[in-house]
Amino acid sequence: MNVKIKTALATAGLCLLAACGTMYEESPVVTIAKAAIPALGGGPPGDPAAMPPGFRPNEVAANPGAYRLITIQGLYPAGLARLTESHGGSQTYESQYAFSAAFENGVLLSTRGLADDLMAANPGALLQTIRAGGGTTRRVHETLTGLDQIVTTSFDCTVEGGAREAVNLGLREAEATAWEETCVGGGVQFTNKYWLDNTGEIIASRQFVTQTVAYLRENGL
Amino acid sequence: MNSTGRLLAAASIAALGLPASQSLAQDDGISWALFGTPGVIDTPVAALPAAGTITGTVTVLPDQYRSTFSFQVSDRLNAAFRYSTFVDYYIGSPTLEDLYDRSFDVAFRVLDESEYLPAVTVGLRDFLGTGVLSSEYVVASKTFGTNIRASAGLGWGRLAGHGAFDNPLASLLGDSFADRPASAAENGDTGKGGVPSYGAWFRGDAAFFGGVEWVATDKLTVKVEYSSDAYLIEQTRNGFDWDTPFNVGVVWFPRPGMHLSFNVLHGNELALTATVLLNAANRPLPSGFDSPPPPVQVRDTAAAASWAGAIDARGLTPSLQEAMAAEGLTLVGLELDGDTLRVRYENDRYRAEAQALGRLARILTAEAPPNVETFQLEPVYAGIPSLGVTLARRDIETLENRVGGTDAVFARADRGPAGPNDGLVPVDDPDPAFTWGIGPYAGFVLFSNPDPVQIEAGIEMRARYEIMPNLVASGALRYALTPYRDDASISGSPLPHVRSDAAVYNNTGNPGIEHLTLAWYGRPAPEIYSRVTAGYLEAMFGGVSGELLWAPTDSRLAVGAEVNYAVQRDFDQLFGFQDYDVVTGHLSVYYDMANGYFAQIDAGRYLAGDWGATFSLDREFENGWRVGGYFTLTDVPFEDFGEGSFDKGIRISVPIDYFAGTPTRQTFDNTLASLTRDGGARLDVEGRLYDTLRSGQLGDLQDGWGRFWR
Repeated sequence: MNVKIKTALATAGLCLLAACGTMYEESPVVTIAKAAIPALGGGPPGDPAAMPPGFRPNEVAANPGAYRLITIQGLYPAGLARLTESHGGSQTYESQYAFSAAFENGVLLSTRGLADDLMAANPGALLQTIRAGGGTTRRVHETLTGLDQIVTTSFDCTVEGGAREAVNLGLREAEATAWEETCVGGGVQFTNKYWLDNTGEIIASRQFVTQTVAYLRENGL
Repeated sequence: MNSTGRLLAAASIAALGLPASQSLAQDDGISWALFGTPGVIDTPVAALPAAGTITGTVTVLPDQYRSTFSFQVSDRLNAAFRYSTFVDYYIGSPTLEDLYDRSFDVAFRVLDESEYLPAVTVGLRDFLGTGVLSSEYVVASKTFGTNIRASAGLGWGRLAGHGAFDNPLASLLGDSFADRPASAAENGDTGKGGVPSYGAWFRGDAAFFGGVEWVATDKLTVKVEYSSDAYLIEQTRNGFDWDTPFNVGVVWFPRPGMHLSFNVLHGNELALTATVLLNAANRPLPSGFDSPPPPVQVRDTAAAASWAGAIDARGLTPSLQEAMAAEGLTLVGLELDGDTLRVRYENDRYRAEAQALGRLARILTAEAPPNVETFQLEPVYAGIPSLGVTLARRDIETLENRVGGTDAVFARADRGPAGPNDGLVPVDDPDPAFTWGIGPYAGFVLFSNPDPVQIEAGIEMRARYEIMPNLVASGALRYALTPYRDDASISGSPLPHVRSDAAVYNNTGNPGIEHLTLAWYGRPAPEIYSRVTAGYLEAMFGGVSGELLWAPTDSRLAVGAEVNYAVQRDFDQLFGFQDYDVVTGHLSVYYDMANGYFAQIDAGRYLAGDWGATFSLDREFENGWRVGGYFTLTDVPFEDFGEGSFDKGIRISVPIDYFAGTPTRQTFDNTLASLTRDGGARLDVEGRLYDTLRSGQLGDLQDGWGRFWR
């Protein structure tokens, strides 16, 4: 059997198992198979081993202020996230693992690409409460339901702390003021942690996303 | 298991139809009993599962098999379709042996359970079939503590087989309730059925039944039942050994979404069930694995003010085209007119059109010149625009990541018909005009005697040539690898054999041309759309099909008209035709109700030349699932129609992204028809206008609007 015939037969075999050609839409059979067997290419888009453009060491070294280190416990290991939009106090970072997170003055506003995303958040008077030395506040989260509907949940929160402690920033340790925001609502309780530097800026945090994802841990480099 | 594993497992399990994040079985302690509906063992319970629950149950009884599809239409209404095989049913018949029977059930919960009152449900079993399994009941169920439910009820028909007494309804409603007329099966006429047996409902003797379910552990439920089902048919024909009205059983929940039950029936017999279930309303991964959208780029106010307008639509095209392609969107045309940018695009990736609109709006915040204040976005379907959505750029810049932002964008968006072609700068499609693909296909042939489920699978070759975006030649050739159907003979139908020879087509036409057509779509006026399709329209007919649709984008109502000239194809499904031809067509009314229901009426002439109407009602979920039923009544007499009396069935459309977790517009569609007969048969032409355009209609757009910022 010559090489051409072997190649043709192999191609035909692959067509049988998957699909080939120039049509972009694959068979639903293949789509579902990919989802069921992640090795075929389905599952989360973020490859933990990925180092996409924009995340190479020389690029990070050239502008370290544009990067943060983000970990989602058990879902994605510590990885870099690159600033993709900044306006006023709002920043959006895209992770090397193909999810994004938006912050306002260091407080998490939303995520995208985490399968069960925080669609939007209003942290209320959190920062003012911290500046006032603690107290109570209220935050509101929006998430997507299985029916593509936005559901809004309000949380009653208690903010306390103010102690100085060392916080691990990945590449270094820093002394910071630690605050905890404990929130209850919608049958859920979570505790966000914020570490603030001497200027009152959040330099590291651990913030609740959704019940499936749990917490996002982030800090500047 | 770590979270990555957790998510992957959820996706994989979802693909198997088993949502990982829920344990519906245990939620209300409900299990699906021998009839494939919520029950103890033989008898029903009043508790019903959450709306959207879909189950498939296989029941193995002595000399009897049942396959049941059950759907919880709403909180109160459950519907089921069943295919049963009764082994050795025809005693002494020289030609017949087993009975293959289709039946429908409904159950409606009239009273919810409260602290002191039980739930009460009224139900009909096999109310539309031959009556072999028919019964009616009223049942009450009350839970005690967290793990015991007791049920008691009154049954008629088959549920009055043991311990029967005079019908109490006779004294209330009249003597007509005292006796129960014989069913078609009891009259020995199992070839009929298919019409509601009103005259027998709640008639004749009645009997009490009851049972207790005890949720022993998370994995096991134990059941004891006093059953009024005497298995009279089975005793007569199969020697069913009935000793006692008491049944005992145990249900094992090996994993979420799966039940297995083992039951001892009436002292001496065994019965097994296996049930898989999912809830269409609970997508396992709500926001999916869709890649993160590009962030909104907020303009610098000073740059906007000083913008000199040095770029035109053509200058914008390359980078916009590239940015859109990265999000699965194809730029079709654009117009830059003052501070308004109009973009016409095609969405091949996102099921929810709102998600495509959101991504495009995000892209435009980066790509549009800073003086542009308004985005007019026009999705294109089959080459024709229908919807036009106008968004204020300022809203996109300020509402991203804001609580209430999703609703605010919808409220502030202006929705109407797409603008004219005039003024648009067309953009060449970078994709090749000719595309082709070879891949696997799979489908089911359901409820065909004697096998209730036959898998049909093979290789499909598809090709498509886009002469213009709205003028497309396409074809599909299939080669089946699965065994041929074993009931392939020319039917004895007295009507033209427009559908009843399907198995002959299947066996003769391999490989066969599924379709080979030239389709042209148009928009003769805003909100009026047209289609003409010519060629080999479907597996059994070729010809010409023309359609007009009036569908205002901001309305839930649409009206269409279709006329076809169809000629029957040769059995080999190649290029030849048979002698039969017909002019067929329908007037159609579509109404997308705001409450999750979709109604459609098609009235006109069918393939066999019969006149009548098809009535359809679908329960639609915002995430794309659709489960519905339909029936067709035409001027073909029930006797001529044959078994089943008239065409009816259940149709289901499953969005593939529910299982895959990644964005796709693909759906898996199937119809559970009671029988495929010649009466009430409609041409199966691809790309009918309403389905082609409906993602841009108000109902679908609003359903998926939660994904605008996703």
